[in-house]
Amino acid sequence: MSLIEEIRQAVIVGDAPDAKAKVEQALNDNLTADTVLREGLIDAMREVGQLFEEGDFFVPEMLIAARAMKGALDLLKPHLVEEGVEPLGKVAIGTVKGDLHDIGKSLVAMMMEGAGFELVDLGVDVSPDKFISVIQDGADIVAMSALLTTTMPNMKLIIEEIEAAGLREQVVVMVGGAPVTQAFADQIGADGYAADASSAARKAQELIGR
Amino acid sequence: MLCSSSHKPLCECPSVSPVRQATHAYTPLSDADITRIHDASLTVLERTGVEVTSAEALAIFQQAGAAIDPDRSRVFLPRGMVEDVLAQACHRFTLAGRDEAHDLDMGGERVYMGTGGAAISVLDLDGTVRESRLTDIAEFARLVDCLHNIHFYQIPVVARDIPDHLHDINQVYAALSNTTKHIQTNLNSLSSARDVMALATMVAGSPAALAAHPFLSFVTCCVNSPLRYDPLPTALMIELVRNDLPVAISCAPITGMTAPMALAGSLVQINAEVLSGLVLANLVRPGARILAGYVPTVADHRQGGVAVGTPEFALMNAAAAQLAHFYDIPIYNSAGTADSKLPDVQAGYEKAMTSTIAALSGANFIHHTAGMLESLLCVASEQYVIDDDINGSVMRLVRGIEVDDQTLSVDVIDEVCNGGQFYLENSQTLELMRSECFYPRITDRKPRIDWEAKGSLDMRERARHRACTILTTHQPTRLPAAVDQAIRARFEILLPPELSGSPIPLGYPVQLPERIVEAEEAEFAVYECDRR
Ligand code: B1M
Repeated sequence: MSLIEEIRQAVIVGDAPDAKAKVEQALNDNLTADTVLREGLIDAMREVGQLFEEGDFFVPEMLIAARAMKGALDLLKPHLVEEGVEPLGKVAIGTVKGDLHDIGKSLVAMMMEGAGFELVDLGVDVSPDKFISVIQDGADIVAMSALLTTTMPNMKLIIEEIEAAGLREQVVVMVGGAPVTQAFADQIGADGYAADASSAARKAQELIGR
Repeated sequence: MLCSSSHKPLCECPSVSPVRQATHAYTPLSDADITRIHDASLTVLERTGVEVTSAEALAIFQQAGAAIDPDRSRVFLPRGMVEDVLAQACHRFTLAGRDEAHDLDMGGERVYMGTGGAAISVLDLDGTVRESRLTDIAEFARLVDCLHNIHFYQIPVVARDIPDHLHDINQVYAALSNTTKHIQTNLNSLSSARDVMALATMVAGSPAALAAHPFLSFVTCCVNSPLRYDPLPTALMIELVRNDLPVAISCAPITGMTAPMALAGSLVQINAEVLSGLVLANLVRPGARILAGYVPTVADHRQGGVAVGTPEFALMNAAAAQLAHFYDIPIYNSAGTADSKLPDVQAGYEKAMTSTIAALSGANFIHHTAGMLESLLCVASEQYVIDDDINGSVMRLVRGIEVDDQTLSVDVIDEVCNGGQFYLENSQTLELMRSECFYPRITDRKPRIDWEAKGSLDMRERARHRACTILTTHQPTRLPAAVDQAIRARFEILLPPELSGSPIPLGYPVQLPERIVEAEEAEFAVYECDRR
C-alpha cells in the first residue's frame, strides 16, 4: 500500500493518531502537502461521504473520520501555506439566539470540516454580535441553524445586522434547520440553503466557488 | 370541491370509552433490572450531578442540602436527599376535563392516550403540506372532541400565522373553546404564563376552583440532555408549581447523541434527569402534582435524525412506565409516533406498535398518540381519525380478558350444546356483544362486494371522509358566552369568532379530493358518528 493510500485508510476508519503519523511520514518523504491534502485527506472524505450516502457508514463513523481528517489537516496547514495553497475557507456556524437545538448544526459543522473547511463553532443561542465579530475576524461563510419557528426570524435579523455593519459583501450566508426552506432563505436574502448536512457541505463549496 | 352540508348534525359526542387498569401486560424490565437502573441513576445524580444555571433553582437545591460546584454550576444530589424528597411526591391526582366525563385519573396503571404537540406543519385533507396556523388548533380540538379514543388534547401545532408573544394565550383559548377534554400546553414566557393562568382562572371561576378542577395542565422541558437544566422552562415549572397547577416535567434525551447508545444507559440518564426534576418540584411545593415526563428518544444513526416510530422507542417508553410505577408517580410518555410523512402503511405499523407497547406497560398520560407524523414535525386531520381506531383497539388490549364465573360460560356452553343451535341467539351474546368487542369506526371488515360498492376507499380515504364529516357538523360545547366575552375583552384574541363563540356554520368549508366526495352519499350512513 502506498503511503497516500495508508493515509486515506487511516482517515476512513477514523484512526486519528495513525492519520497524523502517516501524514508526518509523508512530509518527511517529501510528498507535497497539496498532494497529501487532495489525494489523501479530501479523497478519503469523499469516499466516507459516499459510504454514508449508500447507508454503509453511520453518522458516528463519519464523525470520527472527520476528526481524523481535521487532526491531519492541522499538521498540514503550515506546509500548505508554504506551498501557497489557498485554504478552502473559514466557516462560522451557530444556532441562532433563543434556540438550543444543536445536533443538526453539529452534523453540518462536521461535514463541512470533512470537506476541508476551517470551522469556528459558535455553539447555541448565538447573538448577532457574535456572528458580526467572526466575520470581522475573517470568516468567509456564516452558517446559521434554527429548529424553532419562533427563532427563524432571528436569521433575518442577523442578516440585517451584517448589512448594517457593512459586511454583507464579504461573507456568504447559509441557513438551514428543520423549519427552514429554500423559499424562506430567498425571502430573507440568504445566499444558500441546504436540507441536510452533506448537501450543506456541497453547497458551501459551490458558494465559495472552489 | 367542498364537503356537502346536507348532513344531519351528527356528533352528540358520547362519553369516553372505559379506561381500565392495565395488568402489567408488558414489562421489558425485570424487577432486578429496575432496581439496578434506579441505583445507577442515583449514582449519576450523586457523582456526575446536573448543570443548573438558573440562580433560583440552584438556591433551592443548595438549601435542601445538595452539594454545589459554583464554577461549573453543577449540583450533586445525595442519595438520601433524593429519596427523602421523593417520599413526599404526589402519587395520584385528577387532570380534569371542562366536562367532568373527561376527567383523567392519573396514577397507578390507568392508561390514557391523547395528542402530542408542537408540530410545525399540517398535511391538509387535499394532500398539500403547509405551515400550521391558529385555526388548526381550534379545528383539531373540535375533531378530537368527537373522537372517543383520544382522551386529552395537548396543543398539537404552533400557530405560525400570529405574533410569537400572542401564541400561548391564543393557543390555549382556541383549544379550550373547542373541546371539553383536558388541555395541556407548553409556554413560551413567564408573562404569557401569567396570562394563561388568568384566562384559565376566568373559565374556572377562581384560582381555587382551577386548582381543584385543573382542566389545563402544562408541559415544561426543563432538561436539555445530558443533565443540563434549561433556565426558561425551569423558571416556568417553578412558577406553575407555586400556583399549584399540574405540570409534566419532560426530559427527551436521544440515544447515542445526547444519551448513551446503550438503551439501559439511556434509561439511567433519563431517570436521573426526571428524578432531579421531581426533587426540584417537590422542594418548591411538597406533594406538587407532577407527571414524570420520560421521552426517551432514539436516533437513526444512518442519517442522524431522531426516530420515534421505532421498536427501541417503544421498548424504552414501556421501561419508563415500569420505572414510574416503581416510584408510584404518574407518568407522561409517548407513543403513536411515526416517522412516515403521510398516513400510509409505515405510519400504521409505527403507531400500532408504539401505542400497543406503551399502553400495555400501563403508562398514564401517553401523548403524541394521535395525528402526529414526520418525526413530530407534521400532523394531519385524517390521521387523528385513523389513530382513534388504533387507540380504541389498543385500549381493548389494555382491558384484557375478564375471567369470572359468568365469563367462563360453562352453563351457556351446556345450554347451547343441548338444544340451542349457535351462540348467536343466546342471551349472553346479546348481553355482551357490544361490550366484549371493540368496534373500530372506519376500519373495514365488510365483504369485498360491499366495500367496492362504497367506492373501494382505503383507510386514509375513509378517514378523510370522516374527518370532513365531523368538521362540517360537530358543534362543541363552547365556553359560557359571558366568560367568552370577558376573555375576548381582556386579551388580544385572534381566533375568528365563528371558531369559538357562535355555532359552527354547518357545511364549514373543508376541502376533500373529488373521488372521496363522490363516495360520500353511500358512505354517510356507515360513517355517521357513534351513538353508543
Ligand atoms: C447553515 O446551513 C445549514 C444547513 C442545514 C442544516 C442546518 C444549517 N441546520 C440543520 N440543518 C439540516 O441538517 C441537519 C442534519 O441533516 C438537519 O438538522 P436537524 O436539527 O433538523 O436534525 C437533527 C440531525 C436531528 N433532529 C433534532 O435534533 C431535533 C429533533 C426534535 C425532536 C427536538 C429535540 C431533539 C429537542 N428539542 Co425541540 N425538538 C424538535 C425536533 C423535532 C424534529 N423532528 O425536528 C422540535 C424542533 N422542538 C420543538 C419544541 C417545541 C421545543 N424543543 C425544545 C427542546 C428540545 C430538546 C432540548 C429536548 C432537544 C434538543 C437537544 C439538542 N441538543 O439539540 C424546546 C426549546 C428549547 C430551545 N430554546 O431551543 C421546545 C420549545 C420544547 C419545550 N416545550 O420547551 C418543536 C418545534 C416548535 C417550534 N415552534 O418550532 C419540535 C418540532 C418538536 C415538537 N414537535 O414539539 C437539517 O435540518
